[in-house]
Amino acid sequence: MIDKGRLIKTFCELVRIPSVSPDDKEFIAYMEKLLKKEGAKSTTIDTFGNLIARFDAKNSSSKDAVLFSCHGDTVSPGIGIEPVVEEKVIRSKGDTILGGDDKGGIAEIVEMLRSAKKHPPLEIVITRCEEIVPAGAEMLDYSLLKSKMGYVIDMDAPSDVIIGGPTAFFVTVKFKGKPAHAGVYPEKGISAIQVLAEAISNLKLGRLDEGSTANVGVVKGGTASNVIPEDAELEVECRSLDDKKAREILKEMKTVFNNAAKKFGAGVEIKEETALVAYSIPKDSKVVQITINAMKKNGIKEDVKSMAGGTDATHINLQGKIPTVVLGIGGRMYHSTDEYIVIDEMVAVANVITTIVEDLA
Amino acid sequence: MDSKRLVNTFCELVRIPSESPNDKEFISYMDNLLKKEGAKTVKDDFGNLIAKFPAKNSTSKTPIAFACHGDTVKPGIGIDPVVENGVVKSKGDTILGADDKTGIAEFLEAIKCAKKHPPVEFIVTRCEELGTVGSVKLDYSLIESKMAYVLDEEVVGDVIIGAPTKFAIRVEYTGQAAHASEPESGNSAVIPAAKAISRLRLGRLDQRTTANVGTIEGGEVVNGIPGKAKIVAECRSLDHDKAVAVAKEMEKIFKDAADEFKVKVDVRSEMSYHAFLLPENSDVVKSAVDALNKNGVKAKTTVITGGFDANNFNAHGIPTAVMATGCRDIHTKDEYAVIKEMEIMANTIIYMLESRA
Repeated sequence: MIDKGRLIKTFCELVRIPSVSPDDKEFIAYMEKLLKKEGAKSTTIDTFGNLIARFDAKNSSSKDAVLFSCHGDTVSPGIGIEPVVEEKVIRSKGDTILGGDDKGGIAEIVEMLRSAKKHPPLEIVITRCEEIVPAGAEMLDYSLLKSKMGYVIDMDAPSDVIIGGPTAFFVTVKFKGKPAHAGVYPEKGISAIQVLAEAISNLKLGRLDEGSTANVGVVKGGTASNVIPEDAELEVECRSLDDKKAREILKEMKTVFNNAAKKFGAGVEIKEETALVAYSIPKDSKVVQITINAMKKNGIKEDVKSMAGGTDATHINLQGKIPTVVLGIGGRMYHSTDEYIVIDEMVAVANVITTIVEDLA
Repeated sequence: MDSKRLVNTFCELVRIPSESPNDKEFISYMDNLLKKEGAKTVKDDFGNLIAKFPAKNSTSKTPIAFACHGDTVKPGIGIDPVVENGVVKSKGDTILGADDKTGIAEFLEAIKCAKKHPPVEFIVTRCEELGTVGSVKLDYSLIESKMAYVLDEEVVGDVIIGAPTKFAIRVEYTGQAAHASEPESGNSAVIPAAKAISRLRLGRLDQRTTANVGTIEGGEVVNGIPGKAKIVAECRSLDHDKAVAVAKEMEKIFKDAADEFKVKVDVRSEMSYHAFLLPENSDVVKSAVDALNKNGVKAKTTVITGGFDANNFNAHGIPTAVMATGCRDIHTKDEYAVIKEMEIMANTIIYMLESRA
């Protein structure tokens, strides 16, 4: 049985411990102690500093372990968080974030451990540095995990069930023109800004299809109004729930950059980085069906969908071993000082994951 | 003409710091100095100095004006001039300030040495390096001369008879920032900026006209739809009307792109200076060419693409040519003055003064 007061108390304790990435190791150490106290059979901290805590099955003969994962770090400003518990929500005092992202999820997992009457073997993973690069989940030692399915708790509403995410590419493009005094020898110059403008004009941007978008995020070029700019650079991204489509868009973008450079006789340097790799978990898979059923038992209508961003589940699913969905925390306005968490929704999430582990027992 | 005195005067002048806009102390120094040389002086509201020398051994009532700017670029504090091998340079940690104090020293030497001259007006402007600000704000009602020479620029012999009108155009687009994965919630400010630039005519538009986009800046992160984009552009033409037309054309393209992409735009187009083009056979040009040719250097008339105080003098109806003063590598710590050229210019000015007596 979920104990609301205990859940709130745990949550408030967790957010008071600062863990602004990458300074989240102290929090990981705290979590290791806490999970041991809650009965973890063993704990391991991998070389990157991620925490893995293993719990034996309880009142169950199941051998199939289930993964629950949250990240331990927060964004800034996250030092000196003072949670204010109101009737329905918990907020910060307004000068920091709350840290509900992702400590709401951790508190819910701890509450689940305390209240589940039975459960299969559990692996609780608290990752470091989800908010920065490289993410802890990217560096995680997956050989340490045995789970057959997993849950990352890191979204908003208790009805959220995220079963897919995009492939995303971040691309930095540097055009090299030729400087010249704009008023004296314009013939001798090649404007890198003109090349950049031509390229952007020829890109397909915004929403390309239901699952695909492209964006020019940053442009920068030139030194002074009377100099034909030698350098101009842009940062663009494209993402698609369909990995193949994302690669096609990337290829098309690169063609546009190369053609623009060629048209003006400028140099071009393109650097791409794979920011996210797409995953998609079938709706009829066990991890999704168990979740939908548990939500139903708790009076929640599931909202099964893909998301356009990344979470730790992106990295876990990339390993191809542990199909992992993302559930909501019950918080809102993450990454801002207006962040808050809805107490009833936290209770709902704790109930849902408790039902999940009891059903899997 | 006393070369040693000329160089000493110059060294004294550059030791007084006058980085624009902190050039008022130097103007006061010049005020005292010019009074000592026999001029009556007045400062206009902006602080430009106008010194009037009465005619000397001459009945001429037709004044002639010379002008220099008193300010320098940075780093111009603590200048310690070093005289060696026929040049004056700084110690290397500052500019020299030859731009434009060679001109001032040459005029001072000339007015001291000229045996006769008509009424002479000498104008020391402020803040030329900030975009000819002093001569834009100059009170032209205080000036009686019908022709003038701005003593500025590098290689002695150069007579600048034309310069363009220039417009500086600043554009700021404001769209709506959003996460890149939610294009429906945002509106990129960079897209209209890029579209507009791709539609501009840039580079050399015709023999007398150029246009350029100097800088662009927009957005903060790769996965954010940029809410702001800023562009700095310019156009210039020796034909004033043409410059105006090109500036208008650019403004329209910037504004149309904003309409097309439904973003806000702020376009500020400002004329930095006004074009002038003096006929080769005009009195002001011929006098300068003749004086230089008679004093040991082949005069070369030229049209340039930058702006001077002369642009503003001409715009106020005073035909004004620019005569170079003998400096090099201006606006750098390597700046130096060529003493031989300074002597030629001092003699040239003496010749010009005496021939108009």
